[in-house]
Amino acid sequence: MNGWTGKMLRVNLTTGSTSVESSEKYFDYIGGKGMANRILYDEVPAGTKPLDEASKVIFAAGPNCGGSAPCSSRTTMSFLSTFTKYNAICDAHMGGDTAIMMKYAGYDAIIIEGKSAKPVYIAIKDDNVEIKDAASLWGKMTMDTVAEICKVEGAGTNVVTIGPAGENLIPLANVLNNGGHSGGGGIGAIFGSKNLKALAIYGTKAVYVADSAKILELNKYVLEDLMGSNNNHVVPTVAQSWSEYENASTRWTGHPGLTWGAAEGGPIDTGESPPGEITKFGYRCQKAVFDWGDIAEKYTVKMTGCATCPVRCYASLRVPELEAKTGVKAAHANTCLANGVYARNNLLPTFQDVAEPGDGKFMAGYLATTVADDLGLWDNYGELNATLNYFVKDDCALLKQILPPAEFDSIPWDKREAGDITFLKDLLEAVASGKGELSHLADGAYFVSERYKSLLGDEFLHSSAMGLWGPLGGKRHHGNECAAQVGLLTNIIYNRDGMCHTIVNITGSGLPYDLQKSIIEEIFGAGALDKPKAYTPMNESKAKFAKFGVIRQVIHDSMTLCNWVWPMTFSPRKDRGYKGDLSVEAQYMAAVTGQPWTEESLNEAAERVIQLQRAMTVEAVGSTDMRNLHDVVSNFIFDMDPDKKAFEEGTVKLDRDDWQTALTMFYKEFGWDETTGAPTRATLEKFGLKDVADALDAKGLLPG
Amino acid sequence: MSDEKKLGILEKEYSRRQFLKLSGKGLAGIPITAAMLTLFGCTQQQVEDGKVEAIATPTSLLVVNRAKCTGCQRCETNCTLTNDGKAQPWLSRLHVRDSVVFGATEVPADYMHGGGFLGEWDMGPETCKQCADPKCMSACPASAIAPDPNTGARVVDTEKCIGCGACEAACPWHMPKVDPDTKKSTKCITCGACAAGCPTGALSVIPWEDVVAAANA
Repeated sequence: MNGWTGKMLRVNLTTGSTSVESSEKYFDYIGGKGMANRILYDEVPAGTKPLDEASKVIFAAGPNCGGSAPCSSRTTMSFLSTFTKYNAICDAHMGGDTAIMMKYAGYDAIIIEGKSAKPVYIAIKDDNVEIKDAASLWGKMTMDTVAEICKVEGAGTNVVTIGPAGENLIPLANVLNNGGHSGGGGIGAIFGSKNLKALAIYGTKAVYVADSAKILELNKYVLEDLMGSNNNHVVPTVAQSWSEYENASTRWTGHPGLTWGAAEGGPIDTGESPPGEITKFGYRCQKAVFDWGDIAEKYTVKMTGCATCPVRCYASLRVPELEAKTGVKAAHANTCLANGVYARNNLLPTFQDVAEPGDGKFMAGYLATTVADDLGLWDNYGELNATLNYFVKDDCALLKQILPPAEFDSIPWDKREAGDITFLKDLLEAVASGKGELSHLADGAYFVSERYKSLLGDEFLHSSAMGLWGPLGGKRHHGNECAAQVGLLTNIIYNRDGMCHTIVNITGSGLPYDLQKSIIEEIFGAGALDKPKAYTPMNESKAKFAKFGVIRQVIHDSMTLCNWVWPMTFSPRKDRGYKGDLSVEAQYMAAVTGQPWTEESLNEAAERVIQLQRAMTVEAVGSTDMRNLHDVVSNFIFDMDPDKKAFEEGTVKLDRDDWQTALTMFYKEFGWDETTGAPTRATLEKFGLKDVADALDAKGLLPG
Repeated sequence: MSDEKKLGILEKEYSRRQFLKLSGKGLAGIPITAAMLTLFGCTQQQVEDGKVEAIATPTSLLVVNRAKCTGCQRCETNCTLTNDGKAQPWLSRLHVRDSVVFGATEVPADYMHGGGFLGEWDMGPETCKQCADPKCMSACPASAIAPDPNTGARVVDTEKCIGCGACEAACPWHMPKVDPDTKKSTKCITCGACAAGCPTGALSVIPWEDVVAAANA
């Protein structure tokens, strides 16, 4: 079989049994997210709670994973959200090497079910699957766990593990592999509830492909002609001899004079990396300075990242001075918001210097990122930091009201007062401990709000300080600040933060707005892309553009590709007029599987996945009224910048009535009931989901 | 560099860890010039730290710079897609997957200060050395491994190969693998697909003519 392995592994932790089943019945859902979501629908009854024994976790990758396409080693994990209202279907996406190892071991998916009586880990070596005792690993940090398991299973084994946060059932607990590659959504707590410490995978098998020459040709095409830097930013920050444009805000930071400053044997210059030169591609994204600022250049050993990815967005630092002073590991890597999140806002009002004057904030952020990853504590795109800040602001006014005095006094406030950056370590360890009231601040914003309703009222969930897309508890993630209604519409699809990068990769590409607009309008129609901070009311072109954003993301999470870089909407090449190529995903699918995939058939399969997800969400909500019970967005989105009105230049605020229009148009694009936003029988049947429609009907959950 | 000097490099006897490793003293006795460092894409310090390995093939010098390896493993998939028509990193003619996590194929006692993703990032592929006296070739009971008349690389004649695995066992680095599908040995034929697709130039193939020119610069 080409692309897919055709097999999925089932591990039952209650009985200790393992079995291999055919995965073919899920190919209509592509793979990855689509496959995992359908398995969850088929096997976990609506109403199940995430930590119940009946709850399951499904790891899945798509047919394209393992076949070498750039950025094709992200794992999708589907499960029930631990931390958002309704505990509905949620998927997390993790880079690193897990997805390719699973494919090379021979599995499209791994279904983990049941609950072990004692701590265990699952060891997979191709066909050999064992459930092994993890008593000696329970309590260990994530990185020590990886090392201990690899001593037994082999140094090349990919280990996906929880830390103490997952063991302690913290709703914001994640799983990690290869150090800092994490999957969130609360999956760590589900692992913990099943007494499952880790999943260790090593595969030696092949991913067979229908047309290897075509895949190599596509790889060359993508790398030479289409792909830019991280987030597919196609314009460098500093002018290069070949470049027409420059834009200081992009992630194409590499340029002559900027180095990997701590490289072994001396700094390595990132240099010029023109389109067409594949062997210089990996120097485009000097992510350390993008994430941490100029101070990080001298600590940059290199960039790393996921298997198969040429972009290398993991800023891989070594900071020996920090280890000498605090004992926290000198070398660690993560990417984007996770880098330094706990040093933002006001958890530490001041920062003591570590190696040089003024470096305390960087050191604090780096320390906290490393500690959080070692604890297996998920930041939820900054939500945990926002919540902690909310409770410590105004001299800990709220915190003093929720913590018993003894617990409050046990927190080393003297360190905070002194700007001692190890305060963050102490705080995060206390949060992950599961002991005391403080740990409940990692329940997820919705559950925090419910727990302390009398103190917080409605303000907490709707505040700009929390920055949620809605009171459901999902963090705004490239929402209204990204292409107005378009970005925000991509957020409300999920039961967590909006994870769609299709749109932000366009607005952040670095190309001049007029050029972006002309390319996007050619595809989606007039008015699809507003000028930043100069928004216009909703229109149908925007609804189509938003749908494209979601559908492409589903394609990527299902086949598998990284939506942090894909799709290739734009290109860095002037001779292409900076136009990308949106047919490449389908070309890969055809070359890998040997089946006649087209852009249209891939879009249709991805929409099937979204229709099912929406139906599952309706079941979890227990009502068809998605407009008023699920798709509600936070007040701050309409109330920010009080001196300005929506659609005035200089603000990203939206208008309440216009937002309702936006929802209606978005529902129409997906064939959902335009009043409630629930999928109709006709739409579900159109995508081959008659059984889903029947099940909803039986519960009175079809609209109209 | 004279042809005699080049011959000297190719015929030098190499032990496991000394194999043509660039050192501060030069490349197999040939002093390193600034032009050679530029050509190899490395620094004198990287050479002195033993981070750069140079493997002499009959037509070129394969340079591996661990300071530039980012662990993407594209070399392994490109190798097998090109040579086997499938993606199977385990079968690849160069090996990096088993050492990306810790920088080595064993977990170091002090892993936090070792290499790889869990350590301090030192990592890089182990490649076929195209040995002057190949153990794989001499161990083969079917005489299936012989120099290619055009490239000089030691290649497997799949007609003769019986898939016994003696080559893998004999190689000090266990580079050849027997493909479980074809039951034939695979070993590096210096096709260059790994280096051509390396996004950071951690692997590079440099024609001898260029090495000679740089040595004389």
